[in-house]
Amino acid sequence: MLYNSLQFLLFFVIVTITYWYIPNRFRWLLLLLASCYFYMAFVPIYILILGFTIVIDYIAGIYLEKTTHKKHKKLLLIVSLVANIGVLVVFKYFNFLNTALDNVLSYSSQHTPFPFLKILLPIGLSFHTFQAMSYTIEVYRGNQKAEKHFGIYALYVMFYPQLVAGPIERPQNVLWQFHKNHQYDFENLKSGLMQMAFGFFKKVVIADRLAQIVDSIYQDPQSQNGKTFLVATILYSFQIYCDFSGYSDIGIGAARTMGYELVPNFNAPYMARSISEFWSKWHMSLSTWFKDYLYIPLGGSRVKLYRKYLNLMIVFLVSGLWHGANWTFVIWGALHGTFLVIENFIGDYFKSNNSKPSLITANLKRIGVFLLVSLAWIFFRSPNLGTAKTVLGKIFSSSVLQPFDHTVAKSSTLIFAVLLIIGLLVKEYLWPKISTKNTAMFYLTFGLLLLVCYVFGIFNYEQFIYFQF
Amino acid sequence: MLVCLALYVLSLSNGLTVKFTNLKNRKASIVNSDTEMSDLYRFSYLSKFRESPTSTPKVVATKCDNNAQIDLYQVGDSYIWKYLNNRAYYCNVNKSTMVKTNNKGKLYLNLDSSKVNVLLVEFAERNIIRILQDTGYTYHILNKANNPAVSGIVKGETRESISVKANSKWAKFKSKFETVSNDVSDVLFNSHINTNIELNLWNMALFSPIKEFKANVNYYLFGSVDKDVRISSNQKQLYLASTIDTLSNESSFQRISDAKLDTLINSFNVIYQQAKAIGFNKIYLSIIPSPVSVLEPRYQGMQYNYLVDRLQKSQKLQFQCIDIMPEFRQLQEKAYFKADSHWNNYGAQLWLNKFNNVLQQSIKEQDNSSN
Repeated sequence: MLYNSLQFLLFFVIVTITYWYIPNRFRWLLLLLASCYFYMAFVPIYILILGFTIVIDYIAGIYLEKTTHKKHKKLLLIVSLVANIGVLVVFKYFNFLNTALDNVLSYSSQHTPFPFLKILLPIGLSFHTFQAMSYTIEVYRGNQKAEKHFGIYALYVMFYPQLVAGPIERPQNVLWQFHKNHQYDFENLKSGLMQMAFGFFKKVVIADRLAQIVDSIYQDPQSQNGKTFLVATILYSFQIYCDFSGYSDIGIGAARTMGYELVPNFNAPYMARSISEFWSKWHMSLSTWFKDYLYIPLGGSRVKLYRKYLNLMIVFLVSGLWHGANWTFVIWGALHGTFLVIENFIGDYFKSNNSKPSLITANLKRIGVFLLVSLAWIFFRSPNLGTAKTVLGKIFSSSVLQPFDHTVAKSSTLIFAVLLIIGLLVKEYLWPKISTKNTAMFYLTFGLLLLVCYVFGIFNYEQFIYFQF
Repeated sequence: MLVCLALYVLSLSNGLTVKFTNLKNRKASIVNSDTEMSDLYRFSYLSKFRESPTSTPKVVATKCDNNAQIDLYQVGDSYIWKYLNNRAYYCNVNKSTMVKTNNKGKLYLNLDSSKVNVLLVEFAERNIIRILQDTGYTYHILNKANNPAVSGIVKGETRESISVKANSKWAKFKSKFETVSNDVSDVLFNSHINTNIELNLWNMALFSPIKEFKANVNYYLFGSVDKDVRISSNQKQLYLASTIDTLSNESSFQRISDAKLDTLINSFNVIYQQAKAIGFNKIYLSIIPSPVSVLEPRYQGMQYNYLVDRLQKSQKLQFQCIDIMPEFRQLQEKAYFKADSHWNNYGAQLWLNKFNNVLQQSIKEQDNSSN
């Protein structure tokens, strides 16, 4: 079920109102059933995959806590991780690895190509497996008590506001909230609804409108010039930001209306003055997951410099692969890893005087980071390496001096898109959070946002970009 | 909340949604659904294309001797069942039976040999490839009825019912379980739910001004229209987007190779042979061209594939064709609504007159052959 659909709007209203009407002891059941229905709306049978990993991890958690024997604990953890990663490998990476292996073995004349698996990728697979893995890891580390209530544990994995595209939660943040008796709070409701409304605005007004321009440019890459691709690259940076952060806002807002606080996932990432800062502001739940469960166990930065740089590259290569089973995502990850390594190298060998940079310097850094990130997004957007090569080739050629191709978008559409982007940046810089304390202002702003979403929104039920991960 | 729940449950069922829409249509004024308006207008809500299909004079039956010698069987789509689905329109017709290709209707027949049995197969141009590609359906449109006492039509089903030769209790249980779970799944996770919610909640004449406001703002500011429509070069006509986008099988601009044309002709000929085997006296094919094929064969640099002309002129096609292309090319936009994917009543009347001439000719030929 897509957030930007009438079905979800009705579903949300029904679930939220029912939530506040029923006794607290039944709320976990309502949310669990609603989340099951939400997930099954995509492909019903795939609930079995989720059920499989939930049962494995629930049992693993219980025994991890009971067992004091280190080797047994390790074995239980490995079983849980293998089950989760195994599901990921089969459903997401099998065909990709298959193709890669075929390419390597094709030099042997006796090699028969391996058969492909004809299966749809279960929605949100990468997100809920990571969330499930964080549970067993935290129980193993002794940071989290095992959840004895099977229904509550299942709800931790399946909670619909963050089931299919995050934020990826930690058990310490969320599990206790499912046990809590939440009292109705009008301020939470207003705040949640406002965040949802702004999330919808980012998705249907900004992201999907930018998508129309970007998609028409990428439809026929050979016929476009460098200038047009440069514009598409910048627009795509905002498209993916508004698409993903919009989704996160809707999920976080929906949870808050029921009294649940989820971790924020974005914090004005295009205001970052370095790549490191960018990753502390973009998809924060994923970057902290990789930091805590991959980077630090590899040694983090408390190792020799060359090892630190290697750790960074490993993390970002894995991150790239997490995003998709395609070499374009691996290259995207490698690019960010390279940027970070270079940044760290400069920081390690050319220590700065730590004085606050001037406004001009800060803004120049922001523009620089934005351009580097946008460059990397080319690999994210391109369906294959060939297209990415074509796009880059055209941007870094004399065709970037040619005029923008206006057949892909009218001037008024472009101007409107630019105004929306400027408005978004100004809002994020000056008003990161829209106040809802004044109820009259809340109704006015909320109503205006909904009206603008309706009039200027694109309602083709475009899927959220991060759904494919 | 109860209203929302009722709306959600109502929208889970396609049947209930249709009934609710019909109920709204019976009520007066503001809750009346706008389904009477042109279909492309209802996609786009551009106010300059607001037009009711009742804006052209009604179709009238052609004047002819009505000696009721013909049993007419029609396999067609919305062009026929929406505009000409009444025996009274047709000359010399004793009985008229129609099935719709849209919902995979089939005919199971025992023909009355005392009548002139006429089969008309009507296709909208945009439906040709989609329907003929489904050989599981097209190769079984016409069937002889097993029971000689029974002659009738079978309404198409969207999903084949599972018939398993259940030799064991387990097989029977498995079959029943799969049927029930598929039925429950189809309802609970109805893929059309968003369309149904929109129909139930939003599809009222009351909301048309708001929808028009949105459509007009986006059209005049950004030149953008609903994804399902395109605007003609002279800005006076709406076309169905699928009849233009070359990625769609419904497109009049998708390249049709000679080999593909032969495949389509072979499929048509299979239907013809079925009809011959059952015992039809006269078998006709009529292809109704898409509006863009007639009005703008060159559209935004794309060239019409002339599918209708190539099919009808092919020596390999066994059907006798009712060719209305020359007349429609002369009539141009007078034959079509400006914001509907169908012909208007002028176009329907022209077609009807031509077909009735053919029916009258059929009687004469039959009389001559029996003499």
